[in-house]
Amino acid sequence: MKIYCDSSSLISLGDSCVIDMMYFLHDNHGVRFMVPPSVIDESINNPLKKEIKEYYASVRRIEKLKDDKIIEVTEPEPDETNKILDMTNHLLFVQWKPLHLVHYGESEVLAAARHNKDNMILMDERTTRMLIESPFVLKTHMEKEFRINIMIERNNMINFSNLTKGMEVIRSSEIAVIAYEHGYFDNFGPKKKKAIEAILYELKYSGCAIHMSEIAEYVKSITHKENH
Amino acid sequence: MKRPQPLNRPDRLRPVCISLVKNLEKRSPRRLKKISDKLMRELAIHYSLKRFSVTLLAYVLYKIVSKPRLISSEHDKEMANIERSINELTNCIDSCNDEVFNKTFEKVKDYIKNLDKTDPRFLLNRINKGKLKIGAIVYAQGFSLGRASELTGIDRHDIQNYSGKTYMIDRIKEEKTIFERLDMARRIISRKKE
Repeated sequence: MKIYCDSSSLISLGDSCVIDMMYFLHDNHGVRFMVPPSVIDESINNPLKKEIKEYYASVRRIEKLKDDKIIEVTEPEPDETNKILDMTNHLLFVQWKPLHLVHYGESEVLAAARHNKDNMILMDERTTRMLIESPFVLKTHMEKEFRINIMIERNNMINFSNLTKGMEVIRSSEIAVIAYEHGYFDNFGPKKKKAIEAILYELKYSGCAIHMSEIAEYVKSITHKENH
Repeated sequence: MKRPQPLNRPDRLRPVCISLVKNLEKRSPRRLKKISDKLMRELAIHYSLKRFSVTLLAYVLYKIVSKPRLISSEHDKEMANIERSINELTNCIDSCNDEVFNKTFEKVKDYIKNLDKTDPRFLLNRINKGKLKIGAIVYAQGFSLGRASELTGIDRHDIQNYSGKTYMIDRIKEEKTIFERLDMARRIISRKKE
């Protein structure tokens, strides 16, 4: 089973010091985490090149994942990536001008995941995820933000929907919950529920696009399960 | 219901610069903040290098004018230099190419940095903070993290962290819930490795 990762999730997991979950899922459940080269650039090479010392610790954790072959680099066809990039950047229009919504790195993740049977993507970044799942909600949101009408290019939207059909997107928060359900937090004993709650908040503050109410609902659901 | 405000014409930045100088002379943080907020809100949709620089300038000027220490009479000479350099920028902004614009804008930045020679950290930080804030706004408005990073030159790591800590990404509630996503994840990650 393969999961295609975007740099946003690696960054959240690295910053929250819970990147070991990926080792846990890889070793115990045979999950293979795949990344395209641009994700390596965004999450490892660029911060090192720019000498952003604040992120060195997080970068080294991600780098170790790569060295230990927990994440594997896969190279999609550049033509395919460019096609997706062009399509996503010609979906929404303002005053006849296309809105360039997505960057090469995000398109490369989609291009890599496209030919995979399971089609699962790990992505904390919200915009690309919404383009796949609910582009009309994104359009409405942007109209509200800019107080202007936004047009959709119908053909591109149909093509993009066909291209991303069957793709399922999860976030680092779901990875944390799955790891929790499989015993990753068992060493916390009776406090493991508190631990998963804390990690979900930590992931949120590291930039995982999860709503506060979602965390509250999930914590409520596990409390409910425990009580019954 | 409040009527939507029309967007600024993207090709006209001169009136914006004139209004920046006017409000800088008046030392009006409220007006400068209003201009800065409006420019930030509209930047992504009419992005150009010039518009980005002017947006950043508006934010930094607002921050300067909000600091009584920096607008005291001992800084009058430096403030006059800033005003003069922005006037120079105003004269060429709608007609010059990006190279000439950059040179003129660098001059404005140098005068801003000179405002506090003893401790320029505050001003340097404001410039970086301004870029970061613009990046986070662009992301919150619906552009991708990579695109926000590309437009502002700020590392996506910074924008992601800032957005997470300021709740900016909570502006949209997604349709899929955590439970639906968990069901998808459980289908893939269910079996224990033999």
